[in-house]
Amino acid sequence: MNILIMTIPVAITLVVFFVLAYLSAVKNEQFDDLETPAHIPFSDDEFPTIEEQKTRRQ
Amino acid sequence: MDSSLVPIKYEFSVEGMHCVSCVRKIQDVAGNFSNLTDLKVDFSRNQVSTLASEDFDPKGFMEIVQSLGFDIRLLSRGDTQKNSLIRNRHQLSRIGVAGACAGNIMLLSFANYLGAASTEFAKPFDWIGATLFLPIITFCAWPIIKNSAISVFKRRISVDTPIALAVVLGSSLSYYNLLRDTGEVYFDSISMFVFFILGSRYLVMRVQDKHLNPVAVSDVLQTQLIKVIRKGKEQQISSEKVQIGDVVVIGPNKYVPVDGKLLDAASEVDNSIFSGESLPTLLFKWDPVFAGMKTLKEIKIQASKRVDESRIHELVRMLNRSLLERTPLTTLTDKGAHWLTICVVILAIGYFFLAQHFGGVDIINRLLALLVIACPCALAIASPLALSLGIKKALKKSILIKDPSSLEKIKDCDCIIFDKTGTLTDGKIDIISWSPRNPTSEENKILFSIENGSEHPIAKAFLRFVGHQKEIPYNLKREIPGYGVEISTNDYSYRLSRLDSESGQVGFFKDDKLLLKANISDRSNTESKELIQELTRWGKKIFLLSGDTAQASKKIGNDLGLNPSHVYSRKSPEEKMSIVKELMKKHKVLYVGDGINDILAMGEADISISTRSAAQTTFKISSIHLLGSHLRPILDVFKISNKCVSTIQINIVLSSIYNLSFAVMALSGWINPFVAIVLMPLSSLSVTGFTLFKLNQRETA
Repeated sequence: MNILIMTIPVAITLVVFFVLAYLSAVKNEQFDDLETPAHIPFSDDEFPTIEEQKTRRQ
Repeated sequence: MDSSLVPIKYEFSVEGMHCVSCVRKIQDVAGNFSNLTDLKVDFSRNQVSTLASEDFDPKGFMEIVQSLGFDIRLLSRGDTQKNSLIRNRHQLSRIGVAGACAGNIMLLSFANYLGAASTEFAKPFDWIGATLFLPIITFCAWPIIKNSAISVFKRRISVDTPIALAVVLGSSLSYYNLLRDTGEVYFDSISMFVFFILGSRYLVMRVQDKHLNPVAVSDVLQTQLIKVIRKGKEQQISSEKVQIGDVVVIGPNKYVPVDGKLLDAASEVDNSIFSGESLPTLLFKWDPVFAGMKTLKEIKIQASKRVDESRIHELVRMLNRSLLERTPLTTLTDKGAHWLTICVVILAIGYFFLAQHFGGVDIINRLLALLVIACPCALAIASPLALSLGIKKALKKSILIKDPSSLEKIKDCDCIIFDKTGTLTDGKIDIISWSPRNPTSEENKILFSIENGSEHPIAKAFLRFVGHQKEIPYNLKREIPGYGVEISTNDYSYRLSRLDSESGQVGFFKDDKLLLKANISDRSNTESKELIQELTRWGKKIFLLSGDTAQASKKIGNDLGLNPSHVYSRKSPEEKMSIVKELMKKHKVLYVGDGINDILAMGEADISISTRSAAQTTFKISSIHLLGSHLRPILDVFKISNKCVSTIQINIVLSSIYNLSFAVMALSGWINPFVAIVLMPLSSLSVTGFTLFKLNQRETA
């Protein structure tokens, strides 16, 4: 059972890593709008870059 | 990183600040409010802006400032879209962290349940679980704990109270047990529980779009450039800068910016903002004109009040006051939680003393098990779910439910008040019939020539009736406000004029000889009639409240088969409000309206529905908004409300039975943490499943 001494820290490191990745995704506005991005490929117009969207939002 | 700490910006306008010491006085008020994070006094603009957490009570703040001798008004509550985005992000972070931690705690504790408990790993596993639990209590569940602490402080028990009680007591006793190496730990069940609750609340937050912004006059009256004559000099100024005594020239089809007196000999203005009346009002020289009225032709008025003292501002002020004074509704869930908490606490205390007296074993642990298990998770999860499903369902029928609690309340409304113009009728005047015969095509041309180019609603009705025609040549066109229009050709003179001011009849004269009579009216649609019949069948009392003439209201009332004593006409916005107040003494009142003249009444009523044609302000204050052009969805609102409430009620009963029987089991020592972790999701799942089943059922018939 000594293997647990290794697997548990590894598991916890993974959890921390994924939680941090998730939190940074939330912070980077990944989940703010779940609708619109899905429609962008269907639009004939050039879709705005993230910078343009940001300025537009302001 | 706490959502209730995401500051909300409030702006107040403060009158009566004269010096720096006044500024100091107001700044000192901030000391009384721990939930105020920032307070800025803008001396030059007479404004105070604050940043505060969600639980900040602007009314209390205003009262204190008022007691210092200042006149303070709430300008805006900046719960802007940006803030709601930030709240959304915080909520998501909490759910993610809770999910990750709960999942891993669960893995470890299941290892313990499945045999690790008797090995040397038991302790380390518990310790790792306890560490993973730390973010749950300090980050994920923190807003719940904080809110319930606040509500207990205010002597209110909300659904948060028992949840917070279970989370706080459960975790602290678990830590105590872990440190002392005695008894059981409940990290797994509490963390799962927090995760479920956060998830279900997030769902509700997503579907509801709640805006509590106070109404601003700018929603009603837009600032515009306007021509004024001040001290003999003509100038263009912004409409908000008009001063008393200025002569204001207002072009056709514009809103009057300020209260004043008419300088023209006579003119007709559209007064529907105050009266809801479909026909314009005739005013003579020196008659009062109010800001918000709409002109038909260019008029000249002399401003007699300051812009911000106009009647429309007074109206909006009254409205905001009554909205602030509205007591928040106690929801069914809160009531259920209240009752359950009291039961559990009595049970716990009773057990504690009995056990002390008779000498029980393991008292603390059993009490802990009781608290964890008796948590009203079913209430906390299933009721929001029921409401959010109801809101979604309503949206499919093009009903926007802005205030979810209205879904619980509307079912009890037994008295429904309809505004006439724009709600039951579409507010447009039409020619209903001609007597003794319809006009010939030659006469149509003459009618077109008479009315062409006019903004008058009656003229528009004629133009709609005759369609586009060729104008006949004529020499002279004369318009007499409130009376009619006359044109003369080489051979004859033709005239269209109202036969009397009350009835909706217009005469067509040729050389002063009456040729034809046209009956005009705004009509109720057949749909309204069916709706009202159905509502009456359900035992609702229907009232009609109109600012229009007695005759027009009576006619619509008759068309719809209403009790004549339930039809009120010629009511000002203030009178409408007092009628609603009177009715609310005996009934639960639902108000359906669309115009500015309804806002006071709608702010007062238990529930208000705004229709598609609603003005922005009316939309803002209504609790339910109809997106489609039909009124029929009102019936659906009632149906959905009935369904939601019955689902919630059954849920409350179910979960009470669960919780109380679990409580008995816990106290008699049958429940250990493992049983708790199985039973808790089971009870939540059953109510959730029931809710989904009940509200997703296809409607029969």
